[in-house]
Amino acid sequence: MKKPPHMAEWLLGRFLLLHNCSPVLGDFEELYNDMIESRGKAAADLWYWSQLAKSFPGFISGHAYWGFVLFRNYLKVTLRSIGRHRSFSFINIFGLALGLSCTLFISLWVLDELSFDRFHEKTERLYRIESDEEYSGYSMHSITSPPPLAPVLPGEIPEVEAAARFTRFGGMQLRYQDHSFFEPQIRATDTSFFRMFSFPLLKGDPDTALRDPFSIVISRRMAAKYFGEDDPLGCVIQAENRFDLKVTGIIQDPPGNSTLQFDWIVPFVFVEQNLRRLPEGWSDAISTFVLLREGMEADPVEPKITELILRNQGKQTRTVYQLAPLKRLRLYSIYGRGELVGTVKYVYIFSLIALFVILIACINFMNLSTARSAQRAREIGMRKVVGAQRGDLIRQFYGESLLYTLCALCLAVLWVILLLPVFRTISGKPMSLAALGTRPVLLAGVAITFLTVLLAGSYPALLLSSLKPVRVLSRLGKSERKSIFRSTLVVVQFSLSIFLIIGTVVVYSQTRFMKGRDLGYDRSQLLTIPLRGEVGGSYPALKNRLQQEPSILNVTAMGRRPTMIADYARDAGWAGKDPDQDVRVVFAAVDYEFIETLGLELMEGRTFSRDYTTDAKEAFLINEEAAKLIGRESAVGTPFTMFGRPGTVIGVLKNFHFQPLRREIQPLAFLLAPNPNWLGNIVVRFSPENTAATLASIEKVWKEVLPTYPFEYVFVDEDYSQFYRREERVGQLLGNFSFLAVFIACLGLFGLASFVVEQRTKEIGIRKVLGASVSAIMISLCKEFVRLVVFSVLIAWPLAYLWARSWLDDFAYRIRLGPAVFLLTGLLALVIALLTVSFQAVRAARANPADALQYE
Amino acid sequence: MKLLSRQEEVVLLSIWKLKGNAYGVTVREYISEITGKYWSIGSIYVPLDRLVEKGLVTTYQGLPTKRRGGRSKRFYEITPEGMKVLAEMRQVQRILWKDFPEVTAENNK
Repeated sequence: MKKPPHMAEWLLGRFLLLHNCSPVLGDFEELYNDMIESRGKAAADLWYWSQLAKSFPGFISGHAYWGFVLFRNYLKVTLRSIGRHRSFSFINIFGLALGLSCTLFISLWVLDELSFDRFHEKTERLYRIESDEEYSGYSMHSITSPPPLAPVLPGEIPEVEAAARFTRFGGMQLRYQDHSFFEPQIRATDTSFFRMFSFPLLKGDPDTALRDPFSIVISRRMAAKYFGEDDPLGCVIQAENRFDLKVTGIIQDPPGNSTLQFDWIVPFVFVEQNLRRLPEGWSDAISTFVLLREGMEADPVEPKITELILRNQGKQTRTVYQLAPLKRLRLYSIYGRGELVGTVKYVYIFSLIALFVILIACINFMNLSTARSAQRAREIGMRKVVGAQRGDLIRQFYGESLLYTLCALCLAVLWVILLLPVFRTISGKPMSLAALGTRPVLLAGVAITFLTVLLAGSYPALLLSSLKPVRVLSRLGKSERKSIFRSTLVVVQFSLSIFLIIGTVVVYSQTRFMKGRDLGYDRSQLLTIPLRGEVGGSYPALKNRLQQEPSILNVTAMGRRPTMIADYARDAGWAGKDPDQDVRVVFAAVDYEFIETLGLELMEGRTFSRDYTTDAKEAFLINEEAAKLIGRESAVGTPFTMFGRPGTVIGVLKNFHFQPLRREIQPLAFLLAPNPNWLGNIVVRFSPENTAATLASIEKVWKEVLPTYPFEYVFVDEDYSQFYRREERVGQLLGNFSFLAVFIACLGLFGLASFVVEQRTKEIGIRKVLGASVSAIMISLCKEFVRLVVFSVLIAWPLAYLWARSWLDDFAYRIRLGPAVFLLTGLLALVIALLTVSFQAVRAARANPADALQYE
Repeated sequence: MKLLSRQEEVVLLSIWKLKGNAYGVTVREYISEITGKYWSIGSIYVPLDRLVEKGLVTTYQGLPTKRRGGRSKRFYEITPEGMKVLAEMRQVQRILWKDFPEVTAENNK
């Protein structure tokens, strides 16, 4: 006996729209065997397949017809059920919409982070040269490389196609006719820059634009600022009142998702030859970017670069140079002692939050749908009785959640569009409406929607479709058992919410802690005035005049701003130093009265003084950390050298913060600036009264001494706060999202409570008739929910603790994680949950029992 | 009285004719033979199902055979109700055909 083709037989079985097709298939097989005997196997196979083909049209039209009829029925029933249970439907759709909009916002943010630097055509082959410098006991990661490297790289290393230096150099004063501004966003680079990166020139020739040392390329927004409607090409801009730079190109403004940001580009040669602002020789000072040839790996190139640099430096160091891929700079770049300054951590955190929020919203949907299963049970029972298969019902309920999700999605998209400007401010990203229409965002939207349908719809679909019609229709099904699964879901919801609240509180308090921290000096009533470019020479005159103002208490100057001193010297030495000890010491050049102006505390010795003529050339003031390095009982008087300049330690300062609190206080040495060019900022301490008048008088003095330069100033306390803007942003976003999460979870709880109250109406009525007090009924109603929330708190605590500890680990100075945060958050969650539930409970408990019991 | 369609009538009569050996394959073969036309399996099962629905025919399962891939035959048997309907049909036809001249297919051209 032969079997017909297996595949065909299976298909035929599926296509026959009879409910018992086994005998029919048997007939087919019998005929098939007859045909083999009479006409051979091939003909029989052919016949069997043709039977299959004939049954196909009937199958399709039958399905399509019944599919449509059923769909119409499903849609009708769904719409009716939405309409009948308005509050449930509202909670479902509203909650889902909140969750979805949250998730959409986060995916906008995350996708933007992920898209950084991907727009360059050659992004796969572009690298930045970075290095690990070895010191005694630790290594420092640095992103700079020697300026003379780039021009020789392509010649020395065959894998390198092109290399370009790219650096800021402090900005310049620019003037075109009567437009004069100080422009900080100027970068210096090489001619190969435009060949390597995809920053298109709107006007001008990319190959020749930077060839002449006195040329300048200008961004579109700057062209508008200086030239308005005119064509800037070929015009001459005067820089620092000395150099005439010809505009040779107009460049598209760098997109927001570019790590390289600039408004002006000048040839590197110009800076090198005319401005003495960059160190000469082979010390690490600037960024170098490298384009490798097609198909080349970075690994074999790195030792060659290291070898090349070390050979030219002629020094014995254990520095290792690396090629960091451009496309990873934004997310993964590290700095200092391996601190991750890339945003990948926040990408993870926010993606997780998005998942949490959508999960919470989905749980609402699941719980509310299954809580109502008793009401839907009749419909399901009827459908099954008239012949619905389980698959039909599953499809119906998935369809239902799809409908809900689509409604929610429409709302969510609307909110996203409306709230985009707010989000833009909080996130600090220049996001436009157009970003919503890009392919990755649309794909993410579709993915999120389907994930939601799956998450939210699966449990109801599987649970509701499994109901037994006999049980359901015979009133037995009415007894709703306590659902362990539903309780678990509520616990998950609240654990996530509490986790988010704790996270928010921790981020907030750490940010507050950092912003409010005593730095070791009083940073209020202190301002700095940048001495940009060529104005440094006027400092003595300015100081002299400013000191005469009555509202000004003290005037001094220093190389950097006091909030961020990060110049490192490798060659610091002192009497008794272990020759193998390799350390770096932060240094700063300052003027007399510096210690007094800032109000730094002196532990030992004395400060710089004009009374000692040797101070100008030989004196060093160090901080406690540096004194610890020297390791003597009293560091004062120790011979100390730096940049080959011999001197002595004249005093030790109490530790104070001169870098963001992420970093530990490092060894520091102050020296008096050998000439005014070392002083980049005037530091002014002013009296607390009438700040506006003080500012006006300072500006007046400035205008008298330097009439052609714009007056700018920075308050030190504001300058300090801006270091924590990222933490603030994250805190704000986290705050908003956790508020939403809690709100959605409460919506769900509210719905669930109202369902429970509805179910127990009669019970409550009977209790009241038998004399139960309102409070007793409230307690009996709330007890269950309180238990769930307490559970959630217990689950959330350890998880949140672990997360908070690992987040705080990044900060050298951090808050102590006390039990207060946890206890208070737990209490808060409990109170919120109780309020939500008791709203329903009070209504039920105060109702007249006669109303509840009158129908029976 | 119940009127049957021509197909139903033919199928019902052949079930009666086949006496205990009436299942899908044999019914189809028999009808194809006497009408000289190709009847597909589907076209047999539609009237068969309808006759079952009307209660003129009952079914019972035969033993599974190897030739059918281990599937059993579904045999059809005419019910007393079915016999009654057949008798009625013949009665109607007899009345209708009465006095109709004897003609052959050729004469009718």
